[in-house]
Amino acid sequence: MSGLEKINATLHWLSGLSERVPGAAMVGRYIQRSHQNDPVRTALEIGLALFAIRYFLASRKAVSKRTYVPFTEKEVDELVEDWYPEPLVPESLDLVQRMQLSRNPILVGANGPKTHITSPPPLYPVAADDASPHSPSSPGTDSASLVTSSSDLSSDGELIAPHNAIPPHYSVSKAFEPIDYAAFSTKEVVNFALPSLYSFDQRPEVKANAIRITREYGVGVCGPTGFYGYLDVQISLEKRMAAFLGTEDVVIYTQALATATSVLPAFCKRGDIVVADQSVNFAIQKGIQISRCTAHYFAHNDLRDLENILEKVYTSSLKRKPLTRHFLVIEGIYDATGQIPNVPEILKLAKKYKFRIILDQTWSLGVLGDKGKGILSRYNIDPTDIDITIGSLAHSLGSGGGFCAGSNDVVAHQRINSPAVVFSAALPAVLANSAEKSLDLLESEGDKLLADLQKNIQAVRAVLSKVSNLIKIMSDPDSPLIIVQVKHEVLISVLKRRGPLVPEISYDETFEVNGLGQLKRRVSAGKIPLPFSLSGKSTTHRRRRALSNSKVTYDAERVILQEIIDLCLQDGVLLSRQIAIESLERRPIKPALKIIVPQGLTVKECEKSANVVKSALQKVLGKKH
Amino acid sequence: MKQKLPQLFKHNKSASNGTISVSATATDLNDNEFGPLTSKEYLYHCPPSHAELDIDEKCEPQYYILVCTYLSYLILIILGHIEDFFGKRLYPTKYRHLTEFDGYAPLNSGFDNFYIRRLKRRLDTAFSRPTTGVPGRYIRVLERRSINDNESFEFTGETRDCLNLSSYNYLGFAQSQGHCADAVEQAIKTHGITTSAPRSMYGSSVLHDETEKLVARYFNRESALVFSMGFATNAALFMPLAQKGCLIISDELNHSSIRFGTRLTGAVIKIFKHNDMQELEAVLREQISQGQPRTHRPWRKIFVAVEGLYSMEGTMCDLPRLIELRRRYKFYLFVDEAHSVGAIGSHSGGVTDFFNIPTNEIDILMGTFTKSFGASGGYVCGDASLINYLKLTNSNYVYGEPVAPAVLTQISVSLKIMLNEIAPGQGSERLERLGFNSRYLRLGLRRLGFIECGHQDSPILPVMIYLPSRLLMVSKLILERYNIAVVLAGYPATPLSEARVRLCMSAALTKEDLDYLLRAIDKVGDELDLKYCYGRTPETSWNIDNVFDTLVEDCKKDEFFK
Repeated sequence: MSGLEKINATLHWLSGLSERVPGAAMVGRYIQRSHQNDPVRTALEIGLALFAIRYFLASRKAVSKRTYVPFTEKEVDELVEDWYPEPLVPESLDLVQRMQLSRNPILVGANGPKTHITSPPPLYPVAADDASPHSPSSPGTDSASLVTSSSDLSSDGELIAPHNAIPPHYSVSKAFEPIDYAAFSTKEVVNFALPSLYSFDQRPEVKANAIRITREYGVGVCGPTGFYGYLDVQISLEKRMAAFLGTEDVVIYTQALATATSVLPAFCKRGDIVVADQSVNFAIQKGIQISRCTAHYFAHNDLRDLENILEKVYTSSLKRKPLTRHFLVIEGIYDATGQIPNVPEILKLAKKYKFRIILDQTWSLGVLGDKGKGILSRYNIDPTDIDITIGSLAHSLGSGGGFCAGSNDVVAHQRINSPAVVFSAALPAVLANSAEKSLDLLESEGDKLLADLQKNIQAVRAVLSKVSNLIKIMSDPDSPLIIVQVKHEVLISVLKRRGPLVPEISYDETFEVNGLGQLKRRVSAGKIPLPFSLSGKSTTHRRRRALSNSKVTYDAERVILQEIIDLCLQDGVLLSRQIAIESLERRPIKPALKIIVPQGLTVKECEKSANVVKSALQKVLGKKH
Repeated sequence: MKQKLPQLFKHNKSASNGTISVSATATDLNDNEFGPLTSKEYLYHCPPSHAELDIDEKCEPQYYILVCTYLSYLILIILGHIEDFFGKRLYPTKYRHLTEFDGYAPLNSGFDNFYIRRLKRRLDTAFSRPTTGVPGRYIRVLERRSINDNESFEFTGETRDCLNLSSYNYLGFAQSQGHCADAVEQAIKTHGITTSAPRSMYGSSVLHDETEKLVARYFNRESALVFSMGFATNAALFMPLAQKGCLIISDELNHSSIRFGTRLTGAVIKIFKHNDMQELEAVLREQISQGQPRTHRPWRKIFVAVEGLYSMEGTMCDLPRLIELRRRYKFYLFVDEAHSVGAIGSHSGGVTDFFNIPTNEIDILMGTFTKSFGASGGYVCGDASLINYLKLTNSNYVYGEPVAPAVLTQISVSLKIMLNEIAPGQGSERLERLGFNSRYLRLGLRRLGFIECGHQDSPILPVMIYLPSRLLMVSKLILERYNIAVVLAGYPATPLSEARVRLCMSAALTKEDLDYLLRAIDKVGDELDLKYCYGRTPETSWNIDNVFDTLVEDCKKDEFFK
C-alpha cells in the first residue's frame, strides 16, 4: 500500500467515525475535498494547523531571548534579597522647597479681592496622635538631618531652616524664617492672587441660587454622565455656554486642569502632528505627552518660527498618504507669560497649511472681547473657525470644572472618547449651575465689569512701570495676569551684593560667565550632603547632576522673589509668584512675580497696592540696602 | 420635594403603606432619597477580620450563549459595514468627519469610530440618560425620544421616577436634607462657591485643612490631600513619584484613570492577570532579577497598583497576599479605594478595614468621595513626607482648582457621621444596611439562577447578560415596565463578550425595594432567558415565590455564598 492510499484509508476511517458526531460530516467532506489526492497539500495544511495551534498556545509575554539572563530560583531569591528601592519620595526637602511650603497661608473665610488668611498647617504632625497606634515610620527617616525634628520646632511647630543646616558664611534670607500669618486672620489683605476676577462666587444671588440647587440636587452626582449622571443643570449649562461662545455644542469636564489633558488624546493619536507654542500650560503639555503624537514647539508667540514649522510639517506630510491630522495648540492668554497671541495671523497660517486649531481660553474667557466672550470676539473671528476651544469654569466664572466647545461632531466624539468625560463622575450640580449664573451676570453686566477690570489693570501697570529699571513686565497690556520678571543684571547685582542665598546647591557655569567665579568656590565648600537611601549609597551625586544650571540660578531668584512677596504682605498685599513643578514641566519656567488684578478693587486701592509692590521691589532689588 | 411616587408603590405590595421607621436617622429625611429602615432584622454587620480573600467561583454560561454572543457581534459588524457602504455613497455629508476634506485629514478615524457609530449607537437609548434631582433611593429620569435612530434625542417633557440601582450612592449620602445638606448650606453662605486659586497659590482654606486632617484621621495616616476630581487624582499622582527607571505593575482591570496616570510617567508598565497573585509574584521575580530592559540595571522603584474593589467585576483585591508580597519584594503598594472606601469593612474604612490590615502597610492610599460619601473629588493619604512632596509636585495641588467648599463640607460631615461623631448610630446603620442589602440581593439573584459576579460583601453586583441584544432589552424593560434604573456595562469597559448589567447597592434602599427589584428582575429574566444557571444546582433553582422565605436569615451566613 502506498503512502497515498494509506492517507486515503485513514480519511475514510475518520469520516466513518465522524458520522456519529453531529455536523462533523461537513468537516469531513471539507477535508476530503481539500485533500484532492495531493499529499503535499495535505501535509502543508496539517503543518499550518499545527503552527496555528502552537501560536495560540505560546505565551504572549515571551521575553526577548537576547537580553534575558536565566537564573536559578535560588539566584532569584538572592537578587530579591539584595534589591532595595529608592525611597518613595526624597526624604528631605531642600530649603527652597520648604520655603515654598511654609509660604502658603490658608484662607480663613471666603476668597475675594480682600480677604483674611492664617498660618498653614505644620509640615509634619507636631505630636503623634494618641488615636493612631500605627505611627508610620519608613526606615531611614531619622537619618535625614534636614527633616525638622521636634526640638527644632518653633511655636507654630514650624521651622523652615534649622540653624545648623546653614553654614555661617551665608547671608540667611528672611524668606527662610517663619512668618506669622495668623496676624492676618483679623487684618484684611488685598488679594492680588485671585483667578476669580469678578468674584461671582461670592455674590449673594449666586450663593442663594447654589443653596437652592443643593436643596434640590444634593452635592455629588454619584456617577459619570454616561450612567445617569447627566443632570439637566449640566445640559442647560452646555447649551448656555455654546450660545455664549457661538459654537454648536459644549461638553463639561469636572476639573479645568483635566480638560486639556483629556481633550488632546481624544483627538490626537500616534502619528498625528501637534504644533504648539513652547509656553503652553502644563495641562496641554501632558495632553500632548499622553497622546503619543509627534509634537513640534515654536518659539513663544513667534509667528515667523511658527510659519517655518508649519510649512515644514505641511510639505513633508504631502508626500504621505493617508493624511495625518495636524493640530495647532495656542492659548488665549498664556498662563506662563500673560501674553496674547495674534490669532488672526495664526488662523491664516493654520488655514494655509491645513492645521486645526486647539485654543485654550482658560484665562481669556471673561476677560477679552465683547462681554468677555474671549479672544475670538476680541479679533472678530467667527467661533466656528476654531475647531476646538478649551476653557475653564474655575477662573473668571468663579465656579469649578472645565469645558470644551466645538462642532457637534467634536463634542459627540468627546462624550464617548475623552477619558475624563467617560471615566469620571460628572460636575456637581452646584458648580454647574453657579457657572451658568456667572455667565448670566457676565452677559448682563459684562460691559461695566470688563471696563472696571481694565481700569484696575492699567492702574497697576502704570505704577509698576515706574520701576522698569528693575523689572520687566511680560504680559500683554490687557491681561489681568501680570507676570513680572526681575531683570537679569539686577538679579546678578543683588546676588553679588548678598552672596549665595541657597546653600544646598552649587552655583556653577552660569555664574562663572558672569564673573561670579568666587561664589562657586564658597558654595561648594559649604555644600550639605543629603544622607539617605536605603542601600546606603549617597544620592547626593545624582541630585547634583540632576540640578540643571537653570534651577541653580532660579532657586536663588525664587528666594529673592519670596522676600518681595513677604514684604508686600507686611503692608497688606497678597501676591504670588510663578509656582511650577520643575521636574515635570517641559522646559524650565523662569521665576516671576504673578500679579492677578481683580475687578473688585477700586482704582485707588489698586494704585495703593501696586505702590506697595513697587516699594518692596525697590527695597529688595534696589541699590541701597 | 416631598412627594410620594404612587406608580412605584403600586407594584410594591409589601411596602404599600404605613412603613414603620426604626431607623436611627432623623425622621425629617426625605423617604424618596433615603428609605426608612423597616426592621432591625435588615442589618448586617461585617465581621471585623478576614484572614484571606474568599474567591468566589463564577457560574459559567452554556456554550451556545457564548457562540450566540460572538455571532450577534458578527452580524452587527456585517450590518454596520453594509450600512456604511451605502451610507457613504448616499449621504456623504453624514460621513464628513470621517473622510478627508479640503486637505484636512478626517477628525476621527472611521475604523476607530466604527464601534461607536454602528454598535454602540444601537444601545444609545440606554446610555447618558439625563436625570434631575437627587440620585438617592429614587432617581428622576427625563424621558426622551429619538426620531433619527439615536443620532439625537429630544425631551418629551415627562419624567419618570425610578428605583435607583445606577448611582454610586453606597452609604446613601446623596441627600438634599439632613446633616450634610444643612452644613453645606452654611458653608456656601460663609465660603461662597469656590476658593478659586490653585492650592499652591493661596487657594487653600481652613475647610481644606480641616477636611484633610479628618481624612488622615479616618484612615489613620499622618497626612492627606484632597483633590477636586477623582480621575485627575490618579491621572496626576504617578507623575512625580515614578520616573524613568521605575517599574509599575498594574492589575489588568485597573480603572482607566490609573492607566492614564501611569502612562504619563516615564516608567515601564507591566500588567498582571486580574487578582492573580501568582502571576504578580512571577512578574516581580523576573523583573527584580532581570532589572531594567537591555541595561539590566536594578529598577529604581517598583510600584504595584491595584484597586480595592473593581468597579466592573465587584471583586476585591487580595490584600493579605499583597502585603506579604510587599514585605518580601519591597515594592511600593498603591491601592485605589474609589469604590471600596466607605462601602466595605467593619468600620467603613475600605479594604484595609475589611482585612484588618493597618493602613501604613499601604504606601499610597488613594480613593474618591464620589461613591460612598455623596460628594466629589479624590484623596491621597500617606506619610507626611509623601504629602509634603506632593504639595510641591502634584499638578492638581500646584495648578488645579481646589475642592469647592460645598463639596468639602459634604465630605467632612459624611466622614464624621461614619465616625459616629455626628448623629451617633447613623453611620453604623448606613453601613449595616448597605451590608445587608448587598448580601440579600446577591443571594436572591443567585438563587433565582442569575450569574452574578464579585465578592459577597461587595456593593457592586454585576449580572451577566452576554448577548448585546438582551442587554438593551433588559434596560428597556426594567426601566419602562418596572421603573428601575440600572447601568449597562459593555465593551470597552468589559471584554466584548461579557456585557452585563451592573446593580449598585445603596443603604438608601429598603428591603421591600429589593423584594420588588427581585420580582421585576425575575420576570425579565424569565422573559429574556437570562437565568443562565437556573437548574444547575438546587441552590440556583429557587422559585420567586419561595425565594423570600429564608433569604433574610440565609444572606447573613457565609456558607450560602460558597
